Amino acid sequence: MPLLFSLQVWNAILWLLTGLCSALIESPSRRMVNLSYIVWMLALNLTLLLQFLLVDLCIDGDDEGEDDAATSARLKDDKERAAAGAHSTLDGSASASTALAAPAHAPRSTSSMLLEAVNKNSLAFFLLVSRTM
Amino acid sequence: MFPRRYCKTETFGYSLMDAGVGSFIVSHALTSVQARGGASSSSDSRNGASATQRAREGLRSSISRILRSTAPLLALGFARLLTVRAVDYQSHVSEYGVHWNFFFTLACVAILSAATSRSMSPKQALWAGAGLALVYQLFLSVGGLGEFILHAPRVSLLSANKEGVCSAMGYLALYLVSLRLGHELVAAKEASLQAWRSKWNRLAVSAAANSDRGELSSTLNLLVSLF
Repeated sequence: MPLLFSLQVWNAILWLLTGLCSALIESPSRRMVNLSYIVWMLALNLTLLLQFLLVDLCIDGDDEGEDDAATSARLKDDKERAAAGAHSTLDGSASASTALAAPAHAPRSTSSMLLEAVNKNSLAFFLLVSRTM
Repeated sequence: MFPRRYCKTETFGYSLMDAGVGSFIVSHALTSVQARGGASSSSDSRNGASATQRAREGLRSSISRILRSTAPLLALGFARLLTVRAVDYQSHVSEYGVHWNFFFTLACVAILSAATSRSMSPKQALWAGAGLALVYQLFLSVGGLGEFILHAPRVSLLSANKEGVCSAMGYLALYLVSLRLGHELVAAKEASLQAWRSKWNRLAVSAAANSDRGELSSTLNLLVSLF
């Protein structure tokens, strides 16, 4: 694949550069943030990202059968259901069927609500977990 | 106890805790609006709106916006400075300097990157970052900046925080290069990942089908084509 392949090529190049820089110039130094440190950080983060991407691709493999038409049809269905749900709660009746239908569609969300909440309040969360900083 | 070999190094070296701040800057760049903005303006209306909005905004209002968005970081930086002083918490002067801390670095990078990369495409940001890193390294090794950082006495406000001030340049270079990486990843066609997924599934099927027949060559071909 072009993307994965180019990422891997860049990853290899960056690790090579890390070795070259620390051999020819100086070891990475966080105190100065020299060239070796910058290249090392890029290489390390690219490696981590690549691994996350691979794991994500392998785990998410089941979705693959769905083509765009099915997805959009499903989205349309969702919208209608949501509208119907709003309607029925306004009426104050017959929300049982929509409540039953909701869990079936919950996994459609690409990320968990918890992660999204953390993401939205990233600074507060960061301070919370690193109050020793 | 936390193993000492993972702790931050004093001056040179690779260590786990050294990777923390650098990775923070990289992920900051990967998830920034600048990295995401250009690619998905049609799919994400919020990003698109902020991009056009930014183009329309004058320099003055964008400066005030930058200051407003970095104000929490500056406030945290000063808060940390004060609290560390107040409780006499052990802090390494040679890490960032006497007063400087990482919040100031973050605020610095945010302000400088907003000032420089606003008018840059991600491609230009890559070259700017790489150039900045090279020039900075030149200053460090040839221009005597490295000597200054490591050995100069802390006499003025600037030399008291020499590590923090100088390393902000390096972090800025790292940020600019990472912008490009983030842009690449966002711009990556979902289609190419989709194709990879279908290949992966085919691989699983063919591995299962071929394993009892001993015909592994086609499976191996698929496996090779994955990477």
